[in-house]
This record gives sequence, C-alpha cells and structure tokens, in this order.
Amino acid sequence: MSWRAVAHKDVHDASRSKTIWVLFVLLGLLTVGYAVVHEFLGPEEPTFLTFLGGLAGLVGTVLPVLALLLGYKSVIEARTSGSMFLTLSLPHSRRDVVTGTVLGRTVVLLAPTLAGLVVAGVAGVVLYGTEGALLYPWFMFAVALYGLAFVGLAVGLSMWTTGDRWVTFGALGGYLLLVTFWSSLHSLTMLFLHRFDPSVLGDLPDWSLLFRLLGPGEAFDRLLRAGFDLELAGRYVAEDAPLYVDWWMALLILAAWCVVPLALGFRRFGAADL
Amino acid sequence: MEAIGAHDVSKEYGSETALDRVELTVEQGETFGFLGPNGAGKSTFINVLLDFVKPSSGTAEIFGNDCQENGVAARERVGVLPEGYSVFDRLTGKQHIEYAIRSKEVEADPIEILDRVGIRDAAEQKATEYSKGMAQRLVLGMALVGEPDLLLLDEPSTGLDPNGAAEMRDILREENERGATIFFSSHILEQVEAVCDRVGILQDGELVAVDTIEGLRESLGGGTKLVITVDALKNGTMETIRSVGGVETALARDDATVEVTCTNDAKMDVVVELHQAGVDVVNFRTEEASLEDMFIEYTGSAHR
Amino acid sequence: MTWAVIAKQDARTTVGARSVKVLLGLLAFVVLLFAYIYPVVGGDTISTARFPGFVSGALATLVPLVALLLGYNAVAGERESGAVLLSLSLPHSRRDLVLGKYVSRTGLVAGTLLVSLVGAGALVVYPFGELDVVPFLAFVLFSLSFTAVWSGLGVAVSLAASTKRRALVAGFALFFLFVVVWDAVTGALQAGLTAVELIDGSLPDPLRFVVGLEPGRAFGRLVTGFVDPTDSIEGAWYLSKWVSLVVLELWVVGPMALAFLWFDGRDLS
Repeated sequence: MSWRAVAHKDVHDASRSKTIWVLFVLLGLLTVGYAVVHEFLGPEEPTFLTFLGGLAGLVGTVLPVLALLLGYKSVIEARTSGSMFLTLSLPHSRRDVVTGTVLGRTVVLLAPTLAGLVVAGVAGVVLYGTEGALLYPWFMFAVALYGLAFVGLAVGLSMWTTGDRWVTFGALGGYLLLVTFWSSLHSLTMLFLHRFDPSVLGDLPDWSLLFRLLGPGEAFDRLLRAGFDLELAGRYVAEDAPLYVDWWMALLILAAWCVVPLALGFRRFGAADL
Repeated sequence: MEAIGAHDVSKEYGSETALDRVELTVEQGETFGFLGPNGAGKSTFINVLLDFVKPSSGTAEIFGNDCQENGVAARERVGVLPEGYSVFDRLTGKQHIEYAIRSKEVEADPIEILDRVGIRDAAEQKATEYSKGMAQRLVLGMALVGEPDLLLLDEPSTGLDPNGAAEMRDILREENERGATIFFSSHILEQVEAVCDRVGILQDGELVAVDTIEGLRESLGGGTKLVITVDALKNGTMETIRSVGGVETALARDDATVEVTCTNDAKMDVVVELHQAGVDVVNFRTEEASLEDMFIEYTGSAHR
Repeated sequence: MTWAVIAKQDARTTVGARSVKVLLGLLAFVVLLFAYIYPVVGGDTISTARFPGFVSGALATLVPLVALLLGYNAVAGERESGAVLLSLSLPHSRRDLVLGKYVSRTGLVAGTLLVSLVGAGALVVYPFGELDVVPFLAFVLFSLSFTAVWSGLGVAVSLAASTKRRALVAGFALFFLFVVVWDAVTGALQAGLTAVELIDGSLPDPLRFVVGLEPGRAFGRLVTGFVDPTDSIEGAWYLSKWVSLVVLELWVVGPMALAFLWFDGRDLS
C-alpha cells in the first residue's frame, strides 16, 4: 500500500508550493465571482438552473486546462530530474508511483475546485432561488469525474512520452482537440464522409451521436442533462436518440478517458529503462 | 566421422582451371589450415562446400551430406565466415546475430555473442557503418551462433589488427576444445602454424601437400636450418656450401651470416667443407624450419 | 523450410525504407481517393459491384509500378554487394531465400492493397452505396493475384539480373512494354489491318486472344466478366473469363519458376 505514501508526499509537496493556494484563490474567485456576475451576464430572468448552465460552461473550459497543467509533467519531470530514482529506490513499485501520483494530483485539483463549487452553490441558492438545487451534489460529482478524466489523460501522457517538448505538444493538442475543437472535428468528419453534403449535419446518423459523445466535454454535458433540465446536450435526449447515448454511456466514457491513457502510458513507462 | 570430404572436385571457368581434382578429408575435431597464395583456389573450394559455386565435376560432403544436393542439411551444423560478403543494409549488429539465431532455430543471447567477439559496444549500430575488422568479428559471431560442429572460415583474419587476429585464434582454440572441427583458409602463415593440427597447401588449384606441420617438416629434408656465422664471406663460399651433398638452399643473410637448409646428415659436412675452404666459422646453430620456409618451398613464391 | 525467417526479416527492413513507405502510401491513397470520389461521379447506382470497374484502370497502372519497384531489388542488390552470401551461409536453401523474398515483397504490396480496398469498400458503402459482397470479394482476390503477378515479375528480374541496375532497367522495360505501349501497339495494329482492309474495325478472335495475354488485360477481363454487372465479354471460348483466370494465374507462377531455375544453377561468386 505504499501508493499512499507517494500520494501523501505529492499532496504535501503541492501544498507547500504556491500552486495549490493559487488554485484555491483562482477557483474561488472564478466560481463565486461567476455566481455574482451571472445576474448581469445571464438571461433576463436568472434562475438557479441558468446559473448552473453558465457555471457548467465555465468549469468545462477551465478545469481541463488546470488538470492538464497539474498532470502533464508529473512523471516526466521526476524522470528527467532524477527524483524518480530516489522514489523507486525506496520500496515503491512503479505502479505505486503512478497510483500515488494520480491520486495526489486529483486531490490537488479537486479539493479547491469542489470547495469553490460549494461556496458558489450556496451563493447561487441565495441569489437565484432553490429550484433544482437539490441535485447540486450530482453536478459536483460530474465535475469531479470530468476533472479526473483529464488528470488521467495528463499523467498517462506524461508516462507515454520521454521528450519534454512532446509532452507539451501532447497536452496542448489534447486540450484543443478534446475541448476546443471537438464538435467542429465531429461535424467535419461527418461532412467529409458524406462528400460535403451539408444536409447530414441537420440529420445526423445514430452512430455519429455516440462518436460525438466520445468527447469528454460532451459526456460531461450529457451527465448534467441527466440531472438537470438544462439547455445542454439536447441531441442525446431527443425522442429518436438511440439507447447507447444515455447518461451511463457518458459515465463510461469519462471513466475510459481516465483509465485508458493511464493504462497505455503505464505500459510504456513500466517497460522503459529509466 | 568425416567433417569434410572432397572427392575429385574440379572447377573450370571457361578454359581456366580454378580447382584441379582436389581430394581432401578433414576428420571431426581437427583444426585444419588451408594454405595457399591469393588466387590459388582456396575460396573457390570453400564456395563449393557452401554451394555458392557448383563444381564442374566431383562431389563434396559435410558430415556425409552432399553440399550440392543437400545443401541445407550440410550447412545445418556449420558456422560460416565466407569471403566477399557484405553485411545487410539497415540492420544493426545485434539484429544480424538475431537473424542468425532465428535462421538456425536455436536459443542464444545475441549480446553475449557480440561480447565474445568484442563488438558489444557497437550492438545497436548499423552494421554498414562497421569497419572491415568489425564486420569480420560480426560475421564470426553469426558463425558461432548455435555451437556449430564445424566452423568454416575463409580468411578470417582479413581486416583484423594483430590484436584482433590473436583474439580470433583464441576463439578458434576454445571452439576446438569444445569439440568443433575448424577449417579455415589463410595466406598468413603464423595463423596457421599457431593453431592447426594439419594443413593443406593449395597451388594453382592443385592440392600439393596435406600433412601435419611436423610431417611437412620431415618431408622437407628433415626440416633443419643451419644459421652459420663466419668471419667473412668470400667469393665462392656460397657455391662451396651448395655443392655439399644434402644441401637444399643456401642464402646469405648478410655478409657474415649464411642460412642453409639441408638434411640432418649434411650439417657437419657443411661446417667441415667451410673449414677446408679456409672460412672461419665463428658460430653456428640449427633452427627448425618454419612453416614459411616450407610454404616457400612448396609454392615457389614468397606470398604472405 | 526457413523461408518465413527470411520473409520476416526482409519485410521488416524493406518497410523501414522511406521510399517504400511513400510507394505503399501512394497506392493506398489512390485507392481511397477513387473510393471517395466514386459516389459523387459514379451515376445512379452506387455499389461495391460497380466500383471495381471504376478503379481497375488505375490499379492496372499503379500496381505494376509499385510492385516492380518493390520487387526488382529483392535479390539483385544483395547479390551485387555480397550480402546474399551471408544469408546462404546460414542453413537456408536458395529456394528458401527466393520464396522468403517473394512472400515478403508480395505481402507488403498485397497487404497494403487489401487494407485499402477494405477501406475503399467502406467508403463506397457508407453513406450512399450498397454492399454487394460476392463481386467485391472476387475483385479483391483478382487484385491480389494481379499484385502477385507483378511483384513476381519484379522478383524474377531481380533473380535473373546480376546487378541492381540491370534489374531496374529490365523491370522498367517490362512496365513500358506491358503497361505503357501495349494498348498503343494494339490500337496501331487494329488501325493498320483496317486500313489494308483485312479486317473491318475489330481484331479477329485469335489476335484478340494474343493481345489479351498481357496481365493487365487479363485482369481487366476478369473484372468485366466476373465483377461488373454492367459489362460482359463476347467472343470465342478462349476469350472467356475462365481462360483469363488461368492466364493470370500462369503469370503468377511462370516467370518466378523460370527465374528461380536460372538462379538456382548459378555460381554466386
């Protein structure tokens, strides 16, 4: 069980550095700040649900950046600096090191995030009423899973590559691909397959919905839609939508985004010479 | 059992005769040196054994398998270092050894073999970047894969420095002690003399002698060489020596030293004759004839 | 039978060369490009049975080129440098060597073609076309046979020539004769015979047979006869699709066998 020691050290290191405190402040400011300004940015008659929708958009964009920044150098830096030797010369296996690192980074990311969300939630209830607020924990759960997916991706990437430059490109590319351009990429692929007949975008075939749901942002939205009556992920809850784009699929997909990159990265890292 | 058996092997290229009815048997466990000047047909003979070249007539066998009819079986237990090869493009040294391991269907550690032939450090380097000596070591390594019963090496020391040649001899000795038969060709005599049980001398495609080194010495007038130091050579002294019965060659090494090869009985006659001719013999000693002397004797040339 | 060792080794080093990657990539790209365009320009019925008629002309030019360029250096280069001696010093027979090289080179081209044809089939079927399994499968098999013919010709010139350069020249001569000028010569023959009023427009069946012996034409007749529902072959029995099948398979075996017999009897140094 020595992964506990590694995780503990990871969190401890982070808490001594400025990172975690900066994160706490940043996320607190963002979430609570949004709770305050939603009144002016949002629709004419803000409710708790519209506030939640806006908050989801904000978290959906910012959280991946933070997760990737926290995780993408975790393993590779320890490897190049040599501190990995030190860790591994203690009775830790590589598996322990990875498990501990993932847990440590997750704690560092999610502790301030969830704390900020709790405060923002309270502020939201106070400002916009309680309708829908009962399921607020479901929102926090979805956020946690979403953050975990990107921590997994980042640490996996960090194990996969050995070059500093590649891991940076990978993290940047991963963000652009999965968060910024995912829906454009999806539309472009469908257009390409249909020989640029634009009518396909109005009438997407069933399988392409699953393809679209593979994007972590889409899966996150789908999870939220399962708990709240938001204007999100509408195409997955339309009447003729297939069964396999239900909320449990979104859950599976987010879990896979955490686990699969970790497994792939570990296969390389586990076999590599240090 | 015969490791190599060649029966009446001839090879003609047009009107040129490269091998002339070569008859040769190498027994299992022997180290056999195949000597001859460049162009004498050594490589042609080895290439017949490997079926690179088809003999015009005659047959050759390795462990009873006909080299032409049954080439794969013949080469199955043989490690080969051929002549005129080149290494494979785009393969590292290690991959060469791995290729040999898979081809011979054996288990072995490529790094261990590279270590043994002294190029472990170049294991991951492309073999096309190797020097000639390194390539030679690499191919020797490929030959050693799978503990072959026969090592067939064509001019193994080509491209090796003296150190490398000595290491090569050590490896051959070890392999022979393990029980392998060794057959190698060379035009470098020290090599052959140092490790061989028997030698064969090839001259213009003909096998002119096959014997142990001792045997060759004996057949060459007892193999005795006299080195005589005199006060001064006079005109006619050399003629005087050559006129003695039993003397084969007489050479003036410098103006006070003469080398004479002769039969054992003739030794004293030479000294007596010199004395009678009025030449003072300051010193004289006998040396065993080296293989080189015999080689020159047999091939009538001083290639080395 | 150690040819598999040689084949594996050869495939690994061959595919490591950039030029080979480019050639195979070009083949795959062209096949997929044709499949991508086909639904747009292919008329009313889009199906995997009609697609072969659309792409076979391109294959008849591109496959010979790629297969020859991969095949011509199979043995000749190693023979010229002496590396072949290293292989034959190991317990491989010359037959193992040739077979291994042939399997490796053919496998690379045929494998690429197979994968790209499967991809092409998918592109044709989705989203506009119909899947017609049997004709398409037949087409894939004919294409692979056609690949085997040309990489066999490539390896054959590689065996027969003593240097890499000569093998390349011989390979290009074959390509030029069969792929580039064969049609023109046939056309000229036809026009000439018509002009002297020996025939009226089309060649007599025996001559059509002789002209049709060329591998690309045999391949084309197989596509017409077995695959394409919009087309059929007419003429004497020896012009039928079954005879074409035999002709194509003879091309697979014949040149390789002859070149091997030649190579097996040679002195190598």
